[in-house]
Amino acid sequence: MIKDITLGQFYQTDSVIHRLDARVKLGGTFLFLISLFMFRNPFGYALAIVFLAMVIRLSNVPFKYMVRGMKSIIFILAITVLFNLFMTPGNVIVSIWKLKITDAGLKNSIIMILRLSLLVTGSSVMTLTTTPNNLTDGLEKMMGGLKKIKVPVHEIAMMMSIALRFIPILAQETDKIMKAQMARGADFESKKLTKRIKALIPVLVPLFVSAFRRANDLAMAMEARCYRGGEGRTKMKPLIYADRDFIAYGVLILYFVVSVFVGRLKIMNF
Amino acid sequence: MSIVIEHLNYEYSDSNPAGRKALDDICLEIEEGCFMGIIGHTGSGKSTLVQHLNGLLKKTSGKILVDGEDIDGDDCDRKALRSRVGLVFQYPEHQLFEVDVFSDVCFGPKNMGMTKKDAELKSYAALKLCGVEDDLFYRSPLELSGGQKRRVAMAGVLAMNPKYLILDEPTAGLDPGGRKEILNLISRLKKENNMTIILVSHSMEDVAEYADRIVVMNKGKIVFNDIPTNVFARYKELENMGLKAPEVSYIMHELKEAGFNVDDSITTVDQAVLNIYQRICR
Repeated sequence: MIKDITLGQFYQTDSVIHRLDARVKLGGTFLFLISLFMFRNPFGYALAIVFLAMVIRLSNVPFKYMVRGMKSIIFILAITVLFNLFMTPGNVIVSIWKLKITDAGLKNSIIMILRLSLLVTGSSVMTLTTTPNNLTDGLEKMMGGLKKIKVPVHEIAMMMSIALRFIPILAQETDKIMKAQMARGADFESKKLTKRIKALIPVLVPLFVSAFRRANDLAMAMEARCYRGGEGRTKMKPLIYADRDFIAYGVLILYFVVSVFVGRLKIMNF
Repeated sequence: MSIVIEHLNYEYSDSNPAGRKALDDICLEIEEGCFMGIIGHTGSGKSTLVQHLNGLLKKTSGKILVDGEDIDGDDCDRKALRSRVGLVFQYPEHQLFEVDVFSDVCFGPKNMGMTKKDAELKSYAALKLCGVEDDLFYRSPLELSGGQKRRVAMAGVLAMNPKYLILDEPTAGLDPGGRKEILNLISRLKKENNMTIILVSHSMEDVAEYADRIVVMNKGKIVFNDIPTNVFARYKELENMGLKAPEVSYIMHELKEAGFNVDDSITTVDQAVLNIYQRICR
């Protein structure tokens, strides 16, 4: 149950994609997501799938890791498809009892499936190939302009990276706490909802206590090393664009222009 | 009556791509009334093993019998099993959650379905047994010191009246005084309450002094299963596994090599003092 959390999961290996600057990957993911919403015909999606497949191939991350992210959205996917399938007005193709499937509904559901799965897979390529630290560094750099209007960009980025860093730790701790309470006869598998909610108290209290303790310790450790926010702080590994990053930007923009152009051609329009 | 483990295997589920075996063909019998020490380096599988004994982890294959009953059988009552095989985890912070010490200890017996009165009586007895003073009963568990927390956590498990008591690293993070107190408490539980104790530890000193049988684990396998003197006599092999014999046994070995007529199979400080006094000083 707890092992299924894949948020911010990083897959350790070496590849061109892993070595890319985090900003390129952030920007690229953003462009890719935008492109998905601009297509008007199947060719655009075909291009997007081919492009994503190539990136995954280059990233050396096993395909099964990519698909794992999909598991979490199966429920959302199913609901969207159901609603689109039965609620869209149009020419009726099949009708079962009072439920009618229309051609427009079918089309919409297929588009939804494509969009959502490409969306999730596309963003998991980014999280799987970028360490959380790099990711927040990239965000911090990209949002640098906001500093001028007094947005605490560094602090936000620091909070994000700490939060990401603590997800696996807290997940592990939850597991241990649950075991310790189960050893005292706590029942987390009761069929009654009220009982199940009540059973969470013995888990949540120690978890919160330990989260606060950890936060305290971390704050102390940071202060002991004279951390005082982003002002005048330099990086040990500053993000510097290399040649490959510019090439990647080029490829991304090329993909974006071509796919949007092809995707909006008026052939086999939706 | 005893706990019998036959050909137990446990593998991490698919989240670990290597599919590493955490437990590899474990066969072990824990007799009633014994004090067994399980030692091993970090990651040797000792904690994984004991979490099978009360059904917290699901074995991959093999068989575990507690008092002759298969714990993975369909008719096995999980709650009853967990009260029979009590498991105290390393960090008391992971289980203390109630507003005060006393109600926290009541959590276990109440889960076992005892009436409020019975649960409170059991909890009181358990707290007394663990040497928790009355004036701590209505304090928040968070205010206690490390050693006190550990006693309360132990009382929380003892209140369920276990027949077998498993302790996972009960002395980790305690100062020498606190360690001694906890270990004395454990050995008193064995002697006076006739409990079967399984002590998981990586501290040789702890285990050598109290256990009457030692199981050494390495990489998911049982390497030795013998009485302490026999196990520590093979200290060279232990070192290869990242373990050590108790400090005192090194001294005895060196004394012997230096030509003194001492008994080098001694593993506890008290025995060593006596032995050195008898053989050398006289």
